[in-house]
Amino acid sequence: MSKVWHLETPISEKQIRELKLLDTVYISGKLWGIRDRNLGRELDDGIPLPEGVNYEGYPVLHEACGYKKEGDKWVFTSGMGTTTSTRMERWMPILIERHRCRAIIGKGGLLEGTTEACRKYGCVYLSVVGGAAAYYDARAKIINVFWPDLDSQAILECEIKDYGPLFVAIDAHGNNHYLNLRKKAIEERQKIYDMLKIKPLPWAPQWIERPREKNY
Amino acid sequence: MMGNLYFRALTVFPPDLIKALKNACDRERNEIAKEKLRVMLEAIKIGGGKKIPICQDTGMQTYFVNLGAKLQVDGNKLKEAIKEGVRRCSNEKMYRKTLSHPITRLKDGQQVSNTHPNIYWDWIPDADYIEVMCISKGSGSENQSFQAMLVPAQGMNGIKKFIIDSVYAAGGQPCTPSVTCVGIGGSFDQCAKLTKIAMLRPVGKPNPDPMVAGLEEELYHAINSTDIGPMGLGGDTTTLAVHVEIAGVHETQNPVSVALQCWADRRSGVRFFPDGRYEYIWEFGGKGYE
Repeated sequence: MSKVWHLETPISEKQIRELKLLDTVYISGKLWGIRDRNLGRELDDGIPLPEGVNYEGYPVLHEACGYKKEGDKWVFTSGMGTTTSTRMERWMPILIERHRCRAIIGKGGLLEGTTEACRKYGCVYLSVVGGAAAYYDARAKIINVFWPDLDSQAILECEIKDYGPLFVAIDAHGNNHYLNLRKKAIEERQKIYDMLKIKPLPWAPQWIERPREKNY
Repeated sequence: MMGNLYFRALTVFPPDLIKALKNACDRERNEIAKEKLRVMLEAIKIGGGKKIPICQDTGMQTYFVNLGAKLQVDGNKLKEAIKEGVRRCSNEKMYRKTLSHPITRLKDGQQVSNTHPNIYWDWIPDADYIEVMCISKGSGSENQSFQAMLVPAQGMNGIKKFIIDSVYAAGGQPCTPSVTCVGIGGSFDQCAKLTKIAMLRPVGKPNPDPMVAGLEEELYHAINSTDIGPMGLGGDTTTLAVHVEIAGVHETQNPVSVALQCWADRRSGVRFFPDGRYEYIWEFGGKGYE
């Protein structure tokens, strides 16, 4: 039976190691919004994070923010929401190792590299309901924007209250729910073929094997 | 008005979609999947109430314009109006600008260019009104689109296999439960366009051709047996509906396209009459409201 947790940031490693797959989590305190361009700037181009940014002990969110400045406040326009995490897979293991963030929030899941880093350094991946920005954004406020020149790809510092429901999809013990399900699904694919009476295909001439799986 | 369509698509969700989500929520046996469907329904309520976009990915816009054949219309003016509407709406509300250059990847800070929004034109015989529909589709789902030029020897067998394999390849990434939009036949580009035409249909409305409707039904049950579930974490609800559109095809071709539309299936439409009146619609030829 999955449990419901209410966590306060900063989150300790011990706390993170207690979470089990598919537990439901609500977080209050602070989170950092990250995404492709600002990750690339730090981890590919080697530019150090701006003064005041520190992920250690905090959740990071793969966001897709539309925001503007109203007076001295930041407000959402099209909302923050979440973007697909899988694109960010290549940066996540090194981000966890370098900054010891305690939770990665996103949708779509992450792969083996991140699962291993989560196990080693004590971090979890929390899945949100994608597309439901209007729901989640009501629980978050931007307090600061770093690297504003990146516009919708800047780093966001947000204050959150009961941000959730979030579902543990990668735990700190090397389990990845997405990969487990995927493996099971592929094993059971024949059952679906049988439902549709799909027979093995006749050979179709092809010069090269066409790529079907995406590489990130 | 054209900008308003974009705004409405983002904030007011079609009743057919809400009904499909509610039904799925009632039927779902997996507790976590049920919770996720509840959050989706809640997000629709909040977004509609506050008049804010329900999903932060405001997407890329496709407009379908159907012109009454009895009318004389300055098509170019209409095209400019659509562009101006999208430009104005995204600037006034300061929505995220998603439009980038495909090679340099740079943005110029506008949501319109000489190629965007994408507009398709068609005609309605013997009519004196204009119908316009707008689809705003995010990238999480658009990135999970698949097309194959199969050979006729592979027949329906190959097509069904390709659809199932596509659903597996996408997993939960298109923000499932999806609306599985399939194009069968036509040329390479027409086949892809069929998926967008399928998307214009109210969720769960079967194709008028009973043979195609039967295929939709069959695929619907098969896809929901995959246990991919809402957001790819398992459950009974992987797709809300399967919409298949078909087109005549060259005797030596067998193309198939699959586009998995996310649960945030955003579309809006309007019908203009010659006397300046207008009414909103949910589908081409559908009943007007407001």
